[in-house]
Amino acid sequence: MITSLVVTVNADSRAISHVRCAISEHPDFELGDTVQNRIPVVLEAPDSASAESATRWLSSLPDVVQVDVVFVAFDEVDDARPANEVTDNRTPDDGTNSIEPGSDDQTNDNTSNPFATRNS
Amino acid sequence: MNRETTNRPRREFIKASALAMATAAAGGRSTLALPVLNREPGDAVSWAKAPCRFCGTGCHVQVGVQDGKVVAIAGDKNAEVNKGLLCVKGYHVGGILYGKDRLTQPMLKRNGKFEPISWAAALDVIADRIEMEPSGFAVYGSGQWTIPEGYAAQKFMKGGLANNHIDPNARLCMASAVTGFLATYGVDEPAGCYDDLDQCDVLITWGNNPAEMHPVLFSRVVDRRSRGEDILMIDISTRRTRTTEQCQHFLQMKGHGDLAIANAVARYLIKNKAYNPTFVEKYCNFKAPDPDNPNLHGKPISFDEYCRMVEPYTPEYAAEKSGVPADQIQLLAELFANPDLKITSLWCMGMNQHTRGTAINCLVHGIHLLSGHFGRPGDAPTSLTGQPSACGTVREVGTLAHALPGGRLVVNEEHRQHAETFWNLPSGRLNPKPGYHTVKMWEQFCTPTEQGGDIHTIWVQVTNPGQTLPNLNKLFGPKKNLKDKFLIVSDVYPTATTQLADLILPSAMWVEKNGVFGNSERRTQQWFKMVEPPGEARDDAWQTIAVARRLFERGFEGMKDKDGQFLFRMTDDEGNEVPVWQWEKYYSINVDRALFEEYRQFTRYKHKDLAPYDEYVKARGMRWPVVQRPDGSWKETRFRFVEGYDPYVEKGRGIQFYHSSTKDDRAQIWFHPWEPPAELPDEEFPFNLCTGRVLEHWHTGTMTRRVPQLSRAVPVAYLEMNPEDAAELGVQNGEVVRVESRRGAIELPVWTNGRGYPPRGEVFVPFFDENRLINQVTLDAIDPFSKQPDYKKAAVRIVRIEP
Repeated sequence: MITSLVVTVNADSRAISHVRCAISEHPDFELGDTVQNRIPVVLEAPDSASAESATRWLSSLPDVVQVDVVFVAFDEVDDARPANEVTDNRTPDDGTNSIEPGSDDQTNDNTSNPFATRNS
Repeated sequence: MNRETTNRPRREFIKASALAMATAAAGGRSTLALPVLNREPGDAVSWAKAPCRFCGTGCHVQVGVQDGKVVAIAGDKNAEVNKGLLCVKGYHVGGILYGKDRLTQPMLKRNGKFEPISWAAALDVIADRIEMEPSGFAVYGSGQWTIPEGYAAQKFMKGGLANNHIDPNARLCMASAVTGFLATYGVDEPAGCYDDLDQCDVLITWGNNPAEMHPVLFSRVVDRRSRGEDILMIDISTRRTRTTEQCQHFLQMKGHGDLAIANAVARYLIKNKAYNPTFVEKYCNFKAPDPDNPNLHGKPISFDEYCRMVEPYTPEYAAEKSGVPADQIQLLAELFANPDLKITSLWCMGMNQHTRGTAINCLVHGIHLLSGHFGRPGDAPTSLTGQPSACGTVREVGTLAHALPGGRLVVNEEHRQHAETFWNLPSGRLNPKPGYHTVKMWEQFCTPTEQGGDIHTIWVQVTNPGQTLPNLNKLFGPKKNLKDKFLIVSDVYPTATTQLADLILPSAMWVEKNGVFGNSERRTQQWFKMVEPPGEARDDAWQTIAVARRLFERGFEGMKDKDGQFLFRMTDDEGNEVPVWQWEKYYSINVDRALFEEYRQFTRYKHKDLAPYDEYVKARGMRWPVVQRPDGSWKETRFRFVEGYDPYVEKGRGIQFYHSSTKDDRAQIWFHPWEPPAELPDEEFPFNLCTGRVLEHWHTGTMTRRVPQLSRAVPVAYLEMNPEDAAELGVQNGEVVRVESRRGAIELPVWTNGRGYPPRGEVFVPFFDENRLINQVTLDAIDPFSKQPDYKKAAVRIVRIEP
């Protein structure tokens, strides 16, 4: 999957520089030239799960205000499945319930649902 | 040669193109062509425009199709709404077509099991149910219907069956916004538009979380601030959200506190002579509820009476009722008192899903009018919608139990005559009695026939009431044991609703069919079919027309016009009738175009003029009223009721509310008192339950739960609660508890360090999870005018489940 994104950063030259530096160290991203306070990037990921995860990482960088999606090519990806197949079957009443408690570690990104499967 | 080596040059080409596109979007340029995924001649991707399938923002995407499959999505650089940018849902809007459990053939339940049947047999089943008793047949539709789909259903029911039992799921999400606009301006839908977000100095979100629910709109404001513009953002809500994180001020209120806050702002403006007397004297009247005759238009009051009514709402009194400190209320009031600022208010479910939804909608309009923060770009009270065509299909086409297309009412004889004329029906065909609104419709369906439950069949299209209705144990669950009731569901995937269906019809979705949507800013948007639907899935409008034809062939009088012709008779360019009820002929002509052009006749009465269909083919949507200029071109309207923008405002009038309910071109400033929620926490049920959505899942998750990464990110519903409350109950993060109300109970894991940071005594549960139906717990109390339920306030208790 190839996607391109626009990363909007607080309009401060030092902040832009820091964000560019952080992105450049991530192997999946390719940087374009900054336009005002916006950084165009290309992301190549094995699947949309990884792409989404990388996008969240971008959003979590200090001074990043917004990450917008511009382009998504998923011609080699086919991963939509029945809901109950992809969500897991860990309902409380089916005997396989093993909902994992969320981490209380406040250094984690607490904006992600703690009940996400660990191996995803 | 391995695949990677083979594809490397192509991938490098795509990456280079994608980067160029992002660079162009970052710079706001619109000169670059879309990336071509393959460079080989004859093997290129074809691109075409469509509005996004998800929320009511109405972002335009370009859809890349190759070998009959959607393979790429790009933000549409020519679209004013999103200017080439998309939220993360852009990753998934293509993939929603390809869930492996798509419904692909009609299925009839026999002896408790679904069996495949032919479309012909399915049409006969529906026709039989209708002929059995036409008045007991109902249609439950959606703000996800396209405009032509909703219009066809509307004509089928009201024109064909003379039956007004048609209502949409939008009753559950924006009906109070409608009644608020009607009570204030005499006509529905916002006067402002998204351009206000580019001009406002202050953005106030009233029970609204656009950072997650309408991210592209929210980013228009956040982006301005990131470039150094001075924008003040204020969030008024019962819980912290991602929107709160971006706001300088957070006014955390108790349920219904908004009523007290708005009245306190009005009082402050009057007490400090900080209202806008010129604006008020020229353009406004005052109204209050009429207790002797409760109705949407209330009774007129004088300015002095209005002042006396708001007088008790001191900041301290409002603080007591709302839980918001008096100094924060005063801060808000001071902003409205400043005529130099431009203030935009946004709201969505928080103000609409409210048993005083009409009242709070009116009050927020009222403080904008009282202070004169209306009519300048950036100065606007604007409601948002959650579905892509809640405005276009529900509010404009009027797919509501009391309405006719174009803002007309079934109770109004003149309005019925208009519809009978446009539909070429015999005079008196239309039924003057409003049908059942959503809650009543499902209540009647779930009540045994012998006990007065007079709805025997409901046909559901494009929605999932088995998950979204409030108080499901009353309004949906009983159907299971009512053998004479029959549920028909047209959908694309199995849902909580199809579980109780008797007949399932597979539908085409999004770019598998032609369509027209109407977004939250009055923008009408058209697209063409790009790929084939799977199996035997077919357009919803075709399904409606095919049933109508089946009835016509059986001699059902209602499916004939006054000349004896089929109600949905359509012709080709030579005037020859085309049998569009035959699926193989359905795309012989553009049925959407034919339905839209017929519907367009209805739109001028309330000055919601639409352009011809072909104009929308060329555009990325246009905001009504769209009027033709002397040179033949069609011009949209950004700001209604404002001279210089709205072509229907007379010269020299400045602002003219030309559909005023008082017939004097004035808007109504309302007083409504603070009243408590329909159900308050008490000793037995000590917590208040608020329900809502999450970023990863759109509504009931029927599309997004099929996208693995979204489901992995948020796989199950949860109970968000304050850590101190959890500690007091002895509940650990992640532990499963039972949430109980007077209506039902479900079990959910607790999340104490999540996104919403509810205050003590407040809990939040998202409603996307069909395995954990929070609407078994919610309350079915409704606003008296809009008939919209309140999903934000129900008393519950949290019970620890002993291991």
